[in-house]
Amino acid sequence: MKNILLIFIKYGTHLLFIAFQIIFFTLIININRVHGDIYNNTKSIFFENLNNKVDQLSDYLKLDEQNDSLARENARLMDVIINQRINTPKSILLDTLLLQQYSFIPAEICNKTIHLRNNYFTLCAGKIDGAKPMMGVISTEGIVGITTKVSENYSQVIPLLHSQSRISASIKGLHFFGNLVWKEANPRIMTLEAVPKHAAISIGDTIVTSGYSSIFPRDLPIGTIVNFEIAKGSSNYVIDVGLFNDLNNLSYAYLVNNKLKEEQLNLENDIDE
Amino acid sequence: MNSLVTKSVIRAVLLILLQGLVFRRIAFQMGDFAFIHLFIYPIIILLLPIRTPKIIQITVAFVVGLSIDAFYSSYGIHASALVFTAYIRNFVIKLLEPYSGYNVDESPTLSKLGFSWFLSFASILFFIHLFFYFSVEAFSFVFFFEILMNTIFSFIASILLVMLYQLIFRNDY
Repeated sequence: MKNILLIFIKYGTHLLFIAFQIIFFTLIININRVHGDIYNNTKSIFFENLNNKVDQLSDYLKLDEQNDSLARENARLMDVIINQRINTPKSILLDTLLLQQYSFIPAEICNKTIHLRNNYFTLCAGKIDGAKPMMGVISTEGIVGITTKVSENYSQVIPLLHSQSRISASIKGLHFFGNLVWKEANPRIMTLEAVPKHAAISIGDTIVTSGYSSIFPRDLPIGTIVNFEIAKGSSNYVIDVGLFNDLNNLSYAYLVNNKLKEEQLNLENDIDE
Repeated sequence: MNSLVTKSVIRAVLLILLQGLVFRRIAFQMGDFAFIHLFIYPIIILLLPIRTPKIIQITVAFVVGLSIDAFYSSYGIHASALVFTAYIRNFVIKLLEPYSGYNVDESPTLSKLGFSWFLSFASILFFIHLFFYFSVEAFSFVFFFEILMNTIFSFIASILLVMLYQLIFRNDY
């Protein structure tokens, strides 16, 4: 007790100074709004960084465990896939909701160009596997393109990255739709045209297929809005869309087989006549 | 001794009122430039008698600072800076000690210790005070340029004001 008192007598000024500064600091951040905001921001940035670091560390420590479980999962899936290839034909029905309107045919991409103005993909799946012209081609992350010519064992695809490719796309949650075309040299950016300028869109919105053609099912994710503007004198947006899938880094795709396509086309042609 | 305390208290009250009612409203503006603010109240701490115990200096700074803050409605900012100034005042006094030493019962005024001594004493403490004050006011060194500009220009204006004050009131007020 005596020692504590001695400390107070000896260092009292310094302690008082520190105590006052702490009181002021609390006062400043609690009463002055601007200072409080700055304090809270700084604090949250700091703690976020700290949390991220700790998360990274713990993730790293868990890697071994995750590797093990992934290897086991892989082995199990290989088992299933190989068995299925033996027992069933190549086309698998994946969609069970829409009366199985769509079935998907897995296909490997055997050849592709990316850096030309008009690119073509070739799939290792042809008539034998059920491929037809004007079928949609999708990947697990987004859409790829549309088939044009089909031979016995191969099919040619006009991918998104082609000056003539036109995909009907809409903004998720809105019913406005437009044409998705490739204008830039960048294989990750597409342009969405003909969306009227009264549509309330913002950067980061998801672009999905509209389903207004018979080629793609509706609401397949394509990409997000990275930028948009209204051209002078136009009433439509010009929207830059960042694709979800990197077509450059794609080795596997699925052909979309719309079983009701002919029915729909027949009906629509009837109306024309 | 007693008269010294009375004098100090009266001086403090008058200077707080002067700062809070008059100098608070004065901010020179030159074009886009609003960096000049006048500060006189740190002189209250500067002019406390030399041998005042440190703990009392800091307490006085606490009270004076909070009264100034009440005028500026910026709770704790002036007080924080002023307490810091009071905390380092003794170091500065020790640093500038002349060969003959101080008369510890007196206030370190211009008339007692000479023009150059007082100028360096006031300059050091005012500069530190202003820099501390504007740093706390901005609360982030993101605004370092503004802090520096504010400090430098307010420093020049305030030190002129303080020297003027000391030259006018020569008799230890």
